[in-house]
Amino acid sequence: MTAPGTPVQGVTLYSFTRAFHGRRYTFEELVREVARRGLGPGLELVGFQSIKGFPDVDPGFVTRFRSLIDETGLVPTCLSANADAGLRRDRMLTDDELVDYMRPQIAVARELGFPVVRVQISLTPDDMERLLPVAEQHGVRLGLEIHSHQHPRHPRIQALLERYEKLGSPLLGFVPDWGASLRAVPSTLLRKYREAGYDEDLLTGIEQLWREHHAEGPPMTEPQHGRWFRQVMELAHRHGAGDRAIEMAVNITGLFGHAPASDWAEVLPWAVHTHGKFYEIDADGDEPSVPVRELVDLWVGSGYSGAISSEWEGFHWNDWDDPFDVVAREQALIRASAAANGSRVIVDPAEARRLVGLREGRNI
Amino acid sequence: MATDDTVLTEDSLTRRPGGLAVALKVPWYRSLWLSSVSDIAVTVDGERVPRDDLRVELGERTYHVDELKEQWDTLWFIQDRLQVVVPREKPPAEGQEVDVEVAVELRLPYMQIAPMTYVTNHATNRRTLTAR
Repeated sequence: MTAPGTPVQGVTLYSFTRAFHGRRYTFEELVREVARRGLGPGLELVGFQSIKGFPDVDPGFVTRFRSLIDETGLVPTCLSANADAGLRRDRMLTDDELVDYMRPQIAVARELGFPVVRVQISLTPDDMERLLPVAEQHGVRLGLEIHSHQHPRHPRIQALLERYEKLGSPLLGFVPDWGASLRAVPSTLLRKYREAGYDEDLLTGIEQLWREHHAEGPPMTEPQHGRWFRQVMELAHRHGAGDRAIEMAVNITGLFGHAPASDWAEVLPWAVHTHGKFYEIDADGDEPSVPVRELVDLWVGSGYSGAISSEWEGFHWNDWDDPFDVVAREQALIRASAAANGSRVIVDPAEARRLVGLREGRNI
Repeated sequence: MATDDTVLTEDSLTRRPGGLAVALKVPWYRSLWLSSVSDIAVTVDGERVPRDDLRVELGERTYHVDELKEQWDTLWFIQDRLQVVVPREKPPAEGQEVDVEVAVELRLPYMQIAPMTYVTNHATNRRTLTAR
């Protein structure tokens, strides 16, 4: 039997997008605020969000970032990179260009002291194989994010899994995102739509469609997902949603995935990092839309001892809750869930550094 | 991401010789290459400004709106502003209130939904701004 895992508590700065986007914090102030509120020790950031000029990062920033880590005691867990295959308007990037696009993002992760780089689904198994020597050169692990509407059993994910098994490298893996496993449409989104004046029939219809898709199970083909997308678009247009129809379809079919929690078991041995995606925490301290308890049961039970970044995506529509408070509440839920499994969540920086693969007292 | 309220801020409007400039924030959670900007539309005091009359400034460089699609090597950082320069016969006086509406259309380069089809984001923000 696998020994229970001890996941490392952490957060991604993505949770605080509104505060940063609104220039209420500089990057350094935001990192210090995370540390002051005890939302670490794990720290994840999105390169293209937090770092000006990314991935072309000047040595001065590297020095300042490393000092900031020393000062705050936070532990770099994951640098989220982007695979912008649609960068150009005239054509998609070729595989060569996309691999080259990822190289500097991986290199800068190493410079900043991150042990893991999150990469995205635009990358094929061949691309990942070609990036393996880059990961080896820089001593970082690459985790391809399994994000709704993809899910562990999706053919593209299965093709990656097959390649990983063939290559057998500890430097290639996945970053599971809990947003692929919702159990309900977040109530805060429905509240926002209601306040924006959309009629109840539209809100009921959206929820009904989501439940029908949920009963079908996570989409196995792109045409299936496309059909769902059009269903939401048509419903929204019938109710006069206009320009908002696309956003509704993206939210309902793109963010709120349908994979049963148990589907993750197959890929968890390949998890190098986790996005603890969530939308809301209720008065009882539970997450009504993401089955956090069930997911933590599985993560701990499978022996996962990497980082879980609390990733609050409610900010897309929720401009009333304090993002720092809501992250703290999800972290409390994760800690309680681990304790209920006879395990614990790691909050000690030294233990965290060891578990995420950083050597004591220095970065990789 | 519901981004309509994120484009304009209360200090967005500045006076320029021959017109005014409106400072925009990128209506997305991360920095994007300028090639992600499909369109920008500006309406001042109820009057839509022809697209060809707009000039877009980022750092030291100036573009027509139609040229943005070609700028796949220039990054719009999320804490930086794009200045959209609008010619006016009578530039606003300092402290004058101006009704400004801006619509920004984005194409998200990492969210492909079909061959050469990407998720878009449309943000419209209207505010009464005080010219500085």
